Amino acid sequence: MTDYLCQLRNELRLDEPLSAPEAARDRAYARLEALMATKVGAGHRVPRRRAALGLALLIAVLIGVFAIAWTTVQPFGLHLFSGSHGPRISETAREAFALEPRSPTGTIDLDTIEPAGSFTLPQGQVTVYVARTRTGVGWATVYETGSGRVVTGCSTRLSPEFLPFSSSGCTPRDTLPGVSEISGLAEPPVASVTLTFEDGQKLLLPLHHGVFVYLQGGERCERGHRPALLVARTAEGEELGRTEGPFDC
Amino acid sequence: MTDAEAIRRSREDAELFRPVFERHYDPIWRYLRRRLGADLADDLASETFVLAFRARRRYEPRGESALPWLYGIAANLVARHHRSETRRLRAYAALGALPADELDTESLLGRLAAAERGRSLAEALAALRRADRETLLLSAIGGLTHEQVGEALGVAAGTVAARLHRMRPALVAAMTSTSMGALS
Repeated sequence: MTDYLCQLRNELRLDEPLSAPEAARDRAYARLEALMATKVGAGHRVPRRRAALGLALLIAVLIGVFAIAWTTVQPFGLHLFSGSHGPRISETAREAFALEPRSPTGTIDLDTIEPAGSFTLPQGQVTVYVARTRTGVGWATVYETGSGRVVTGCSTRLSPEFLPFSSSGCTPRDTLPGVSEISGLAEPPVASVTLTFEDGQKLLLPLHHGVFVYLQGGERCERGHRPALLVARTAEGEELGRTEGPFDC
Repeated sequence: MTDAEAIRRSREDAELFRPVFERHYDPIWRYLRRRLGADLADDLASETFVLAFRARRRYEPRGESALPWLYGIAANLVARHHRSETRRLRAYAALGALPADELDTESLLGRLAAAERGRSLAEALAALRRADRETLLLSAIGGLTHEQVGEALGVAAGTVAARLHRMRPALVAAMTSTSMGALS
């Protein structure tokens, strides 16, 4: 090693032993193991041929157009779950959270996964799960269709200064046409988050480890019925924050 | 089974990637811990192996060990934090004190703070270009040879040697003020 590098190592005492914590190593391996268990890990090659991609895109567009047309006549049937009530969290959904690619500080805390809601699409019923990041200032959603297909939902990371209340809108258009997600964080002293629609109806949004999720679709995408206002309040009813719409699909 | 063989065979049987993780998690974690501190080391070490696993089909072994390749992935992740690292180094060089959230004695900044005249070294490190700093710290913290640093950063070993040579005057000057005569 170059002379001054040795000097630098000595200066900074870089030869002192340093061991990785077992817990970190276990978490890292669990994440890798989850990846190994997927198709990517099982050695399947992703088709790369341009023609196949073009065909897949065409089919996706056709399905999208068909799905949008279908959702205008089919009830959206949204049901929001409170707390951990709702369907059991599937292994596929859990894996999807474990593999969620995002910035390093935003790894998902798998202990916070909860079912947030379900709705109906032409492909069948879709269940939405939500979880917070380990650093606590972000969240992500995963959508699972009845056939067990899991698609990445939305993910958001915030700076802590946006707490105790923040919201964001996201449209997983590529995978779920006609559906839009309104989600956000509500930390104490925020005790409730209410969504008011253009037609005057109100909905109290359940909180999942401080995250609220509303899925907009069906008639709630139509002018006059869209979500129009999000308000965060304390237990005493004092308003702490608001986001004004209307929100579009 | 060598790393190269394990990675090649893991393309068909994913489980065979495990020895690569077992062998190299600790050095990668240590490097990241020294560079960026405890908060980021856990996540970035994990991310390094996830990215390596995903990229295993593109892995072209230059030697038996995959460690330089893994250091290269880790260095790319570290590069995203280059600006904030520079900012912290400059702040320390100017003030000579660490804010409460930087008091990680194992991190680079913590080590500098503990060194006799860490401020001059911090100033010298902050002034380095990104590629130079990666080269220097892969050599100093990672203990990699010129060839291994070259493999990690995708440059020739000669380039690594040239970069280290070019940085020498500034680093030596910073360290000479630390311990007079040690390099004479």
